[in-house]
Amino acid sequence: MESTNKYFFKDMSVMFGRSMRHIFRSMDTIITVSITPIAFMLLFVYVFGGAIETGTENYIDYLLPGIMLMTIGSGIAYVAYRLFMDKQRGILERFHSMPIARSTVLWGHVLTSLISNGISIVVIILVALLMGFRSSAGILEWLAVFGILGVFTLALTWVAVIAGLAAKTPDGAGAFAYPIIFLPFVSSAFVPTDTMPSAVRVFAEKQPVTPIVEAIRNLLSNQPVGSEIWTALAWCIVIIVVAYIFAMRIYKKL
Amino acid sequence: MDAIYVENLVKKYQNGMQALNGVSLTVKEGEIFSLLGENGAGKSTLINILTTYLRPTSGTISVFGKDIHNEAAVIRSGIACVAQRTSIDTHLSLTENMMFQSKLYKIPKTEAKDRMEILISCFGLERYLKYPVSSYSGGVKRRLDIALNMMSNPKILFLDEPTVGMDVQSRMAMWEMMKKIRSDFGTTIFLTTHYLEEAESLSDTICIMKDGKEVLQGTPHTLRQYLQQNILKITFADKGAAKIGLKQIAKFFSGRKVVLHEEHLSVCCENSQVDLKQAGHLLFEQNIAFMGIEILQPSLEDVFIRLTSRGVS
Repeated sequence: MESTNKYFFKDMSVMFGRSMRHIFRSMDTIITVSITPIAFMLLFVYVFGGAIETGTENYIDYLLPGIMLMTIGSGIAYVAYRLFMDKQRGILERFHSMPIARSTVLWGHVLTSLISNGISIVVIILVALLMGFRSSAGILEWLAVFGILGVFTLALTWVAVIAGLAAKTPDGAGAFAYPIIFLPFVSSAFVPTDTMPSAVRVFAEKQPVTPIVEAIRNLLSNQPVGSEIWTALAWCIVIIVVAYIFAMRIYKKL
Repeated sequence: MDAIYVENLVKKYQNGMQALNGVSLTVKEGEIFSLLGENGAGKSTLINILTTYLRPTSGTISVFGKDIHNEAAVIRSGIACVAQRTSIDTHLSLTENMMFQSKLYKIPKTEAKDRMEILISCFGLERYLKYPVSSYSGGVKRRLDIALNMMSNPKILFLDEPTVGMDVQSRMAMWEMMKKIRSDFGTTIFLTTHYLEEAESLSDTICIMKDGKEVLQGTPHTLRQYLQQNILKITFADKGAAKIGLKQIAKFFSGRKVVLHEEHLSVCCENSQVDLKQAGHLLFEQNIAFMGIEILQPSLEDVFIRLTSRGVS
């Protein structure tokens, strides 16, 4: 095992390069992870935005954190799909009889998810800037935003790994992402929770998306961040630990 | 040195299914070794264990003298496995697939490029270079799959049912390719198949498996000799004559298996020369016209059917 672990990072970078090529050569991935969130952003800002009262001057400033989380939700669906296809096509079998550390196969997909989602987020921010988004955040606040998004992506990616390894069909592999993509709708991502019926409001305020959205929104508007940032990170870390343990358990049984 | 040595290998899955039941076999260096068996005989499980994909429940396995439990990483760098499903990456080009494989085996770039050119030429893949891999036919994908697995210059190439689903021409081309791999690169080839003619035409050694255990291992010639029971074939002019002949022959060779096939009879021999003489004599005596009489050696198919249907003690 020693000789394979020695090349862990090298093997992971080879796996990463392969997965990134998959993304850049797959038009449907690019459309889903970048163009769809942009379309949602245009729809919300220019169609619904005028009718939504959020207490901010610019609706896009309020909306952007939710769109970012939606983008990540769409992106991680492809992690599950790509992993499932590797399993179905016998590529995992081939990798497992090679002199590489087994876990690099999964870590390659995880790293790809982090980088590709990072690129999508940058694209979304650039489009948002063109649409009038402005932020008074400094470098540290921006780094904190990317840190939170990174941890959020990592958490959802490990959940996606479970889906990809356990799924029986390609549709099944991607289907788990739908609740994640739509979770921002039942949170404070698009509208304040105050206007929601009490049962929905309780759910919206307690689910993990709301503290993450609030934390990012406060950071981007250079407002003091309360305890929500720690709640957000705690949610993500718990999900990472639990999902990682389950994913590895399933992977070892393959 | 033996390329592969397996002794008393057992594999029991978590669901309680016992796929291997104490199988033992030996593969010599540089030979083409065929594992023959019906579906469910344990062939794929055995190949998955030998390629370190699965762990055995018990038993001894060494690959080029190295123990598979303790030196799996070393073994992996000297083997390559072409699974039943073509495992090439359709998002990558032909050359990218091959270079990707070489990176995982840590082959220096210039060496990998040289080797890739040799393999592309050897496997007749030049004319497919400019097309996307996803557009290749099944046979070309299979060739590429084998070629990329040869990038690491493996000492042993495992092929799990490499010609399954192929038409006759593609299958014969694949047989030639396997022979070429052995002759040009000196690679030991371990393949599983359920095509008897494939095993017979390709292999130096054949191992027949049944119910997770080997029933017989040897050269195709040895396996045919195993039955030591030739067949006496008597051909008649037509079915009617064959039926008349059947009555007399069955009566004379009572207790023996006599089978009527259209216009000829098959009789299981005890002593082929004596049986030939007696059958000819009887037909002349009874004035039964026949077209020919000959002794046939059992085919590999006969051996296989006999061994896998009744078992061997």
